[in-house]
Amino acid sequence: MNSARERILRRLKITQRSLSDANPNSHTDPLSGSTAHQGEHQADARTAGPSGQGLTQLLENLSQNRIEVVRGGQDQAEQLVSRLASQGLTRWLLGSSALADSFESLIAGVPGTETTRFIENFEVLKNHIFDKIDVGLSSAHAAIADTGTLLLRPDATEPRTLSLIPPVHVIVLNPHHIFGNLESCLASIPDTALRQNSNTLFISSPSKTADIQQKLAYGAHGPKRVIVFLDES
Amino acid sequence: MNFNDRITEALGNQSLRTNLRGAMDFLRSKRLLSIEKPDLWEAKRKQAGHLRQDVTRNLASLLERLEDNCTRNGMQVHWAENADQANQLILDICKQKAAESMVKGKSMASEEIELNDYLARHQIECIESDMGEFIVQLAEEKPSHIIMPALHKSQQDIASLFQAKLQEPADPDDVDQLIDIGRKTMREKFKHADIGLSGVNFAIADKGLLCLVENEGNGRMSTTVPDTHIAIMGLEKVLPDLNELPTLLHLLTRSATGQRITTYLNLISGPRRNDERDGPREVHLVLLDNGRSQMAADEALRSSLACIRCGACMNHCPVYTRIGGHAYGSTYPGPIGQVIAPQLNGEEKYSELSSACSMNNACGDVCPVGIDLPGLIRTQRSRHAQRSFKSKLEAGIWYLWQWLHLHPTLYRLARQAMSRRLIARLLIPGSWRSGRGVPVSARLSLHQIMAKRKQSSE
Repeated sequence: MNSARERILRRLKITQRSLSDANPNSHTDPLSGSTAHQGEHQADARTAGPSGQGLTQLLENLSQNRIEVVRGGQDQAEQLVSRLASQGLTRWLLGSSALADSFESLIAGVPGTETTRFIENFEVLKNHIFDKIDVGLSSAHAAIADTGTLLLRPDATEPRTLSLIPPVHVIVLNPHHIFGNLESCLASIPDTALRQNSNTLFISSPSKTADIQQKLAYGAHGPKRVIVFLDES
Repeated sequence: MNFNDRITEALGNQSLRTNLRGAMDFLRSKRLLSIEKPDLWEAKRKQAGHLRQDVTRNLASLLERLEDNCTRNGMQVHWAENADQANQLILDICKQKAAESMVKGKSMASEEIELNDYLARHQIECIESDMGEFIVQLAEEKPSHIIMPALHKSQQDIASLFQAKLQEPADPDDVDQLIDIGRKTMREKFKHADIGLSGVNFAIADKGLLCLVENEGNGRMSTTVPDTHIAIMGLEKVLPDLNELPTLLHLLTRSATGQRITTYLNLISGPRRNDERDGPREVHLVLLDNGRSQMAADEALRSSLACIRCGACMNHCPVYTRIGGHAYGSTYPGPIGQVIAPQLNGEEKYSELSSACSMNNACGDVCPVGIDLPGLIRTQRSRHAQRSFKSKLEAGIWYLWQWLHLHPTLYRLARQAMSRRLIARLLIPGSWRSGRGVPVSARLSLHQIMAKRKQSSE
């Protein structure tokens, strides 16, 4: 297949060369990115930043996006677990982070619940996760006020499927980590983090579709419910 | 069936017309509502247009950069010049993995190479997982729209389809129930599939990232659950820098479905890392040429490679909105299809698509990256005409037309003659007159009216 690569690139290089020869002044280096655009992004970022106003806007947009919000500390978290249990949602999937540790003891305090820790490889747990889990728990690195979006950076302690397969997804968010818009939020992620983990993810609602006669339905292939726990403790 | 026959059939299909109308009204009004600040919209359009046009001029360096960075991130990058090579490449990966089944996220590039049929011939089951694509596949049809593949079907159609093909009784009035049937069926498939295939919305050259936008979660399932992920992209989908992504997403999601943001924005940097617990162990990226490098070399058509596949041009095309996607017979229907189908699917069969245009410019007005679609359709139309004036009669008629317009006296005489019903009847072919009245030109030309007016005012 190397020859396919060579042939495609040869054709494209001939074009590229003839265009830059014909018009050397308008040639912009595509690899350095355009500085004009970056300027605008910085201006956007200044209007952002964590603030009380950002939180208000975030909460408004989250609810518009059909994401449920619970605010508070330990007590409110416990109430959330009991409330979900009373709705028959008792089987939790947790990763191996410090957050997962603290939730495990909290969940254990509510009768009738059970927890699975994601400490083996996916292949081993796959059937269990698909068939025997009600709620997945993960944390958000940040949120975007402008669109009501959560930034997740799955890693070894919080695997990717935690936020995908369970029908209910609980996301814990620190209210100090709010950005104004996608531009500033993206810019805040270090390069190494993007490469270090296989996936970086922005979530803005429960999974949904309007593929059947344009009628919006929730719970397409991913979570049917997304709950943000705003940790104010 | 040729293009004309397919158009006639589509126009006569009342339920298709109704379903299309509903879908088009929905998509257009949602798009309009989502554009809150028209000035900002125009500024972003301009910015994105410049950026994407830069990309079409610098594909060679961008793709080399993308390949380098993706490889550094642990992906395996493949190149395919055409559909056959791409299919063969993907089949080879499937064989290496001894794969029996594949789940697919939405990918127009895979439609372009007709991957499903190819793999089925090699005993590999391909299952479309996007709800719309899933429905279309069950019905053994092709998508009729690039964003909403099943928009030609009503809820009732879908309920009967599920009943017939899945033996799932469903209440046609309950969309949630229909979606739930799709969800349950697909979850079993996701759990057992050996390979997940997806498209790519944008590939970020300087970071080696694949960016996928979606609402349903099927894209995430296809790229996360199976042990091997194959991503296929048209080679023009590359972007230089991650900084450019927000602007393009702003335009894409609003233009496509009128959303300010999609449910998921998924950035994939490679296979499962050593310490990670899930994600595919292999990620393959297939860069598909299939006529694109030729389009890049073609001064007149190069700009069409800026397309980000939002579908807005078709939603606003008065022809598409009446005949739907199937009538075109190409992978990409509507205005963008009229421009690129001859290059991607073959000139022989598809250059005649350019005739289905009323030159109203709506597609050009809504294109989020400012592609001059009306101009490009005109280019294709004149190329088609130069190539295929097989009919001496048609060539003769146009010659006469040109000659008449170059001779004012004769032109005036002819115009006067056409204002007589009898002569008009004789000159206009019967096939055109069936179903239409005979157009009779006015007794006085604008020229004469103005001259008269001038006279009376003096």
